[in-house]
Amino acid sequence: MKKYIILPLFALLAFGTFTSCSDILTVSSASNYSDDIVFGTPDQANIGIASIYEIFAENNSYRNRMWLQMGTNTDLEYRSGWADTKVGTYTKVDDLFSLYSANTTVAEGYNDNDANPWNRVYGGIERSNLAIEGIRTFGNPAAGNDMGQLLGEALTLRAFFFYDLIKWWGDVPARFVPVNADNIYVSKTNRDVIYDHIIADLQEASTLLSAPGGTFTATTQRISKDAARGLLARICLSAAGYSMRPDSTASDSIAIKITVSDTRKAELYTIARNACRDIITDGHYKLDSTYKTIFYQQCQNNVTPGREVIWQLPYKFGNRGRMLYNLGLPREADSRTGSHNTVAVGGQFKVMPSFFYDFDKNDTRRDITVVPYKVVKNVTLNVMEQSLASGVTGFNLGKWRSEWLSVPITGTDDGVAPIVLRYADVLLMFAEADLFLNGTEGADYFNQVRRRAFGQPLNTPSAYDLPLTLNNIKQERAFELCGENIRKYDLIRWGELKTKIDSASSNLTALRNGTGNYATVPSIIYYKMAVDSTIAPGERVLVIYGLNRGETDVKTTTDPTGGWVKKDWTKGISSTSSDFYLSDGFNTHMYLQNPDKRQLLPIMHQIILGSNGKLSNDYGYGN
Amino acid sequence: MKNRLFMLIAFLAFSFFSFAQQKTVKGTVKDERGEPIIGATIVAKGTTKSIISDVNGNFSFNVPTSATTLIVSSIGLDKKEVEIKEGTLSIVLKDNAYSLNEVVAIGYGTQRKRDLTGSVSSVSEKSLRDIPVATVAEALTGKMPGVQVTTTEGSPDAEIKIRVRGGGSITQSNSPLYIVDGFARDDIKDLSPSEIKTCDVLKDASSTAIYGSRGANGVLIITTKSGEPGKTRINYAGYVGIKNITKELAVLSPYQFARKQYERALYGDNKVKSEYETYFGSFGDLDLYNYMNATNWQDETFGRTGTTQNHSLSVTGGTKTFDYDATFSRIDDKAIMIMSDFTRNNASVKFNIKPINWMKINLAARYSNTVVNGSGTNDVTGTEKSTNDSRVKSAVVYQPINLTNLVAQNDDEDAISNLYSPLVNSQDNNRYQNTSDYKLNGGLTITPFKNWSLNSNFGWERTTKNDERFYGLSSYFVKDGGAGKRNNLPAPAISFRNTYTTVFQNSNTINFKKDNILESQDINVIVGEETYMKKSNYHLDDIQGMPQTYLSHEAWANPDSGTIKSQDYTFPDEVLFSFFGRVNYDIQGKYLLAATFRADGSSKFAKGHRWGYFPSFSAGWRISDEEFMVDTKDWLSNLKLRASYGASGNNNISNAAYMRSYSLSPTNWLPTDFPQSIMTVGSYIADKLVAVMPNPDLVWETTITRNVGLDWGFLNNRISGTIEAYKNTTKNLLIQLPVSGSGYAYKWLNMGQTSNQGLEFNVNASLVQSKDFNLDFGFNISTNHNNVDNLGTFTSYQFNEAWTSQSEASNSFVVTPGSPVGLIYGYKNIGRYDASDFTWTSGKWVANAGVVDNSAIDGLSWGPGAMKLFDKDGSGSITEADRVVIGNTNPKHYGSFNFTSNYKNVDFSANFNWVYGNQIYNANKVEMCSEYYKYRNLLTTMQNSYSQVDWATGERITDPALLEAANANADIWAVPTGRYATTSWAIEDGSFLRLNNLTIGYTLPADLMSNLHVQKLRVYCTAYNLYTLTKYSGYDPEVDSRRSSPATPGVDYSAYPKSRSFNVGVNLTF
Repeated sequence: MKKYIILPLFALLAFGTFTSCSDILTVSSASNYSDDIVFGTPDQANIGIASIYEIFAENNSYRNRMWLQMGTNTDLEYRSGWADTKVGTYTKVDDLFSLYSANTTVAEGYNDNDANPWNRVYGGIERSNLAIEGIRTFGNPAAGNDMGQLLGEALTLRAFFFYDLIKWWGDVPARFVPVNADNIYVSKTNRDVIYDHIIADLQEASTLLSAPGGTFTATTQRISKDAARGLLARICLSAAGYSMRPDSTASDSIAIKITVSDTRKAELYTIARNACRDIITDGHYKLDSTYKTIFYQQCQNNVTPGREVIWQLPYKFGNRGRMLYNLGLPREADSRTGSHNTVAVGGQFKVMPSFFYDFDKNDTRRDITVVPYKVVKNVTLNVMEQSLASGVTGFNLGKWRSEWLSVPITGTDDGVAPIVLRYADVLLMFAEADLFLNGTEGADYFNQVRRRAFGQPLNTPSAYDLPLTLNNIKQERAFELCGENIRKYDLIRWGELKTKIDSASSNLTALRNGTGNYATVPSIIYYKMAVDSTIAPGERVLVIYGLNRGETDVKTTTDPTGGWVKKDWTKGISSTSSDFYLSDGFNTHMYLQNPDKRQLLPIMHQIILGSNGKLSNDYGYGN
Repeated sequence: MKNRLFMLIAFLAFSFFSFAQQKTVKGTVKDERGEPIIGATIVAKGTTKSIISDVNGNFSFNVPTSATTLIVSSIGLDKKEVEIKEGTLSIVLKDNAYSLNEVVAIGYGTQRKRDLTGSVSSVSEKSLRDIPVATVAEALTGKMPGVQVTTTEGSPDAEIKIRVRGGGSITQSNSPLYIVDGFARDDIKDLSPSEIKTCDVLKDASSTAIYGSRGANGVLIITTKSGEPGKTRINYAGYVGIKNITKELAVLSPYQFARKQYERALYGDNKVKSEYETYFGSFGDLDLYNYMNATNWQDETFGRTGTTQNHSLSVTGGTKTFDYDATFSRIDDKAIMIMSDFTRNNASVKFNIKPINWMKINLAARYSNTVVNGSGTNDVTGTEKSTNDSRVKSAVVYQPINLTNLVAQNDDEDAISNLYSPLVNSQDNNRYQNTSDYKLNGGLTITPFKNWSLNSNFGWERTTKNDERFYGLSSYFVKDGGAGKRNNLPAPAISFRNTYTTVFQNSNTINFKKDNILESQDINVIVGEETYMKKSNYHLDDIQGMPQTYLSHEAWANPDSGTIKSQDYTFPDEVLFSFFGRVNYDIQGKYLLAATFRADGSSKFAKGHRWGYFPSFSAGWRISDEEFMVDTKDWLSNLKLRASYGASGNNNISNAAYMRSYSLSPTNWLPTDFPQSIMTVGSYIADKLVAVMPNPDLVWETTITRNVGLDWGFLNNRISGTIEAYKNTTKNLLIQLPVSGSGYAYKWLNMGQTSNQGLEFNVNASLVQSKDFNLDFGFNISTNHNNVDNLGTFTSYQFNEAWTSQSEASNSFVVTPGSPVGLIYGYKNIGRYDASDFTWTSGKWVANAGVVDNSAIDGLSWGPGAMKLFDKDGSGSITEADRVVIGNTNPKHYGSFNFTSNYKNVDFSANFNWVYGNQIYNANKVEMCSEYYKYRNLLTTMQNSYSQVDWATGERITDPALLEAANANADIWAVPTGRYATTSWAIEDGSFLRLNNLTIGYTLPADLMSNLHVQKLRVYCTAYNLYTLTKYSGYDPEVDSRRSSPATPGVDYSAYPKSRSFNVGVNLTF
């Protein structure tokens, strides 16, 4: 009977599957990369590192909100149009809270999903942690080899992310290994602990990383040895300075404090000075010949190692990142062929009017940084033209201009790579640390920055040199770094956020009244139009008289040069609501909340909800 | 080998040509109403001889003299054995609709309905036969208690959501397990309804536990048609039909549209000059808009008459040892939306061979191909980049008139970036999907000894999906700069996503069945082992920077004209390895006991968590068979009480979610001297790696079900039905928990517990039974109450329906212990603000002291007439803390009823289904009644909105008394221009009663047809979705358009409008 033959076959079949059952359930996939593959070779690990950098380009990340907006609203820069959204108040320099419209109770659009900024930064930290763990386990990193460079980049980027978290949220959960069941829900860590950890990381990274021009450091958009050193200096200065602490509540009279001991403070300054000195001594960088070059070449995407820029956030040029869209000189859309921008750009931030007049008129940084016009379309002539602001309140930030771009902007993303660290900052940080440590080398480096600004030979003392004092450093950093996402954190670490903003307020009143430091500022300016086709065909540009102190001649339409139009400038009354006269309202509504008690963002509701009870808001915010 | 083959051939030959001493048997086959049955199959028992009754139900049959019994059968009727007697036999076959001998599929076997102890609902072939539908799921709508079938929108390929007794999971799919002819499948989209013979749904654990870790959401078992012994039959069924949109949303006329735009510009800091006049002309000319013709964009988009053609041809036949069925069917569906159509081809062949009397072999091959053209109106599967591209809004609120300046000048951000003509919108999101599926099944059953049988089944399946998408210049992806550029300008992009899946399945069972093992005690035991293995991979080509002029077809045809970035990914295999067993024990046919057990090992979990065990027990008591019930026999024909308890599982997570994986994906964002791809870490969901944190501690979720049921029948089962109560508790919920701040979006977690309890009732009744006229009535109703019992350490969490990024209209679904999943949170509307709430100060409305600030949501219309929301916490302004429960998307009950009837040759049926007591979040309405964006038209809901404009002068009225007088007839608040918000006004009653289909058929007289060699010819016409009784103001209340999470049901946002169709068809059997 055939069936008796089939029966054993049946049994065999069943038995065959039974025996293999322990293996059959362990599956893998040809495409599944595991840590040993990802971090085992430099080529693969390089992709792992690129993934960390990619965080900068994510939406609601550094590409738009974070790097380009968080550092403004100081005594120098303020968000334009902010006043429009609050009925009856004209606040220019409000705290981060209102700037960012983050609210602990109302979940704001970009804060309430997983694409929120907090999550983006922690995404970067997780990718860094995976890379650090992976490379250490599988990559044999050492100083001078590719894996060493890649590990150094991961360490530096992680430090950078933690530093930014501290800047924006104060104490945050520290997580230095990839997320696991033990560290997914953790409470805030004292930021001094985090500082110590990332300072050590950066010190390690500085030894691992290559100098510019190595396999992975041929571009200023990747971390090199000097980028790590510069960030180390910057972080040490912050760690040694003032900050808001969880135990400082909104009702405290002293909301900000310094928590490190004097000994540690001296250590931190020493680390900072050494880091800057290493950069200077190695000589891989130098000041660009003119101040304009820095930003012009940045807009041209023509930045290479060996000049001023040490590190930029990496964006594909023309493709991702909203530098000009956010911070550019405002320029209306120009639909003509060959235009610089087919979409409107810029104008989200303005410059405090008095700051223009704080500059020496020979300081080349002034006309790059502060611009009294925007560029509009003259529909009648079908050309673009500079349009003078209605009054002194219309000063715009001018460091980034779409007319400097090597390719036109056709969308909101221009891909101009924001500069995080440049050599002038290193020189000034060196000077500051050196001053604190009673050194002798700082003054010359400090004055090199000034000499470049005034077009003087760098290494020869000039008439513009100033003595090295803390106040001079503070002022110089304002002139040099305005609009570069640095001022706010300088003021915070110096404990001067409120006092400086308050003095900006009194400066505005003095400017209007023509008193004090502003007694010699002309209240009237004259302008006329000229054509500068080098910018764009037929582009009409302004010729202005009266912006410099002492320019008090009366110009008329019949002057020898003729065609002047008169404009009330510092005392002008604007007819539209978007440009404000320097009224008391404008001058005094600097903020709604005491800036020294509102230096940090609240943690978004969503994050607190998802923290399994581990997080709550401090610093006077409710939950 | 040769020997055996010879034997086989000889055997087959013998069966075909056997003859012996013969006698002739004559007879007539009729049904209970005395109607002759045409084509009944008469087989002489113990032989292979068969014959078919003629048009009068008569037969004359030469049988061997040895034959003593005839087996008579016909579709839809009970099989009957008749002793051969002298003279003409009069055979009456009983209608099997209410028959307790009906057999249902219960997983690895079948069982007579009378012996069931678990909860199983069935749809018989009979009720599937006469009403043509395009998809299987449609055919099931309203057919079974406890099974809710929701057609989520109106597109021809719309997802059909099937829920068996609610759903236990919060974040994971609650779809049932689909078993077709014994093999598990992910969906049943590709099946043609004409292939289906029966459909059974297993609802409680006593029946689903045999499917172990996949059974918790119910099991839908489909058995396809097979050949039957008898003469070869050719069946043709076909229909053609037309369809149209059921409803359009009324929008403002051009005049009213212009007025609202004027109003908005006036409120906006008097931007009449810059915003209004540029595009609309001066205020004085407003009247001219009365004479302009509006474009009805809904007509342009959804207004065409769709057509449907469906043809199905099958050939069946066989002998006692060999039968076959070959079917081909095709459906062509041109949908109501422009560029939208659908085609499906199905072909299958099936053989059953019985070469030796102790062996059965079945073989089947099946092919299907589905092509879907067009973008549809939304995409919840995630390949669409933004809800910005959703198509319904452009069809409803795109400018009704051509505003030359607005289109020509690209100066206004609102005008250029936020709305495109629906024609552009549809073209720029075009999509082509082509799915092919090949299946080969084989089975072998041997019966080596009496009472023993061994069965082995093998199945192999290969599915290929091509999904081609186009992103035109107006799409968010391109506009937002996400796509690569060409000549430094935004450029169209396409993507080709090909997914390949191969499944291998094998099950081996041993069955022991012995009646009277002890006196009047029957036993049926099955033990088995099963292997399921799935391999899949996908290939993705992202092609960007196409020439700017390209439209979809040019782009798809010339992929090399852009920059190609490819991804290819092979998934970890999905393996399930299981042992299972079941014992049925029957004492005197009165006391029924069953126990099942399954052990599943799954590759989805980490070592140590792989094996799960799922036991169940059930018992039934046929009370009506008890001696003490003998007095009730004449009216109570059946009464059975049954109860069950058991566990089944749900492993609906992606494979290898427990392990950390990296995957390469291209990036467009990093500088060219960086790697152009990045390594994403996480785990896989469907076919994409998402930032889900792996969790090695995962186990499946387990559902404990308890079920009590009572089956009853009166008057010889002329009236019969079931009432059931259940309580399901799901533990260890597999949850995709948002973990903000970890670097991952989600984490897999076993957490919390939910429960579902409910009642189900159904009744079938033969109201009239007579020779010429019959009327049957069926009714079923179900309730289900869902509750989240606990969420582990969490007190609540939110789910985002994500139709907009605006926070006041986001995260409206909150899951909280003590409440069901599907509650909607939002702001409560409490009318509008009065003029007395404000003072006109320095050119602005300033709220008086104590007036709750809602300026964020009202925007420019903040002032008298603005929408007012309830300030729950009394904070003086509207914040998230003011959100309350404003709706519940769970129905109180749902069900259906139907009438089937025939009068002589005319048949008639009507199917109604309803859902009662659920609420819908009409997000369309929120968007279409707001002027958050300029230059969009509004629904007529806002026609008489509160306005501050003095329409005589164009000035703003600032005097409170005049304002109130001017708005005496205003029936709704001022059009909000602030932010979108989920408010109670947008929550609508979703109850409906639908006349789902209405069919009238006529079967041509048999005697007329027999001359044409036609066994049966029926012509019919059917109307679908003929009438819906509802208060819902949107397109259709049966809607579920934000489906990426099961926790956000009942949202109507950009759902493809439903259509009404009329079909004419024919069923023809040769």
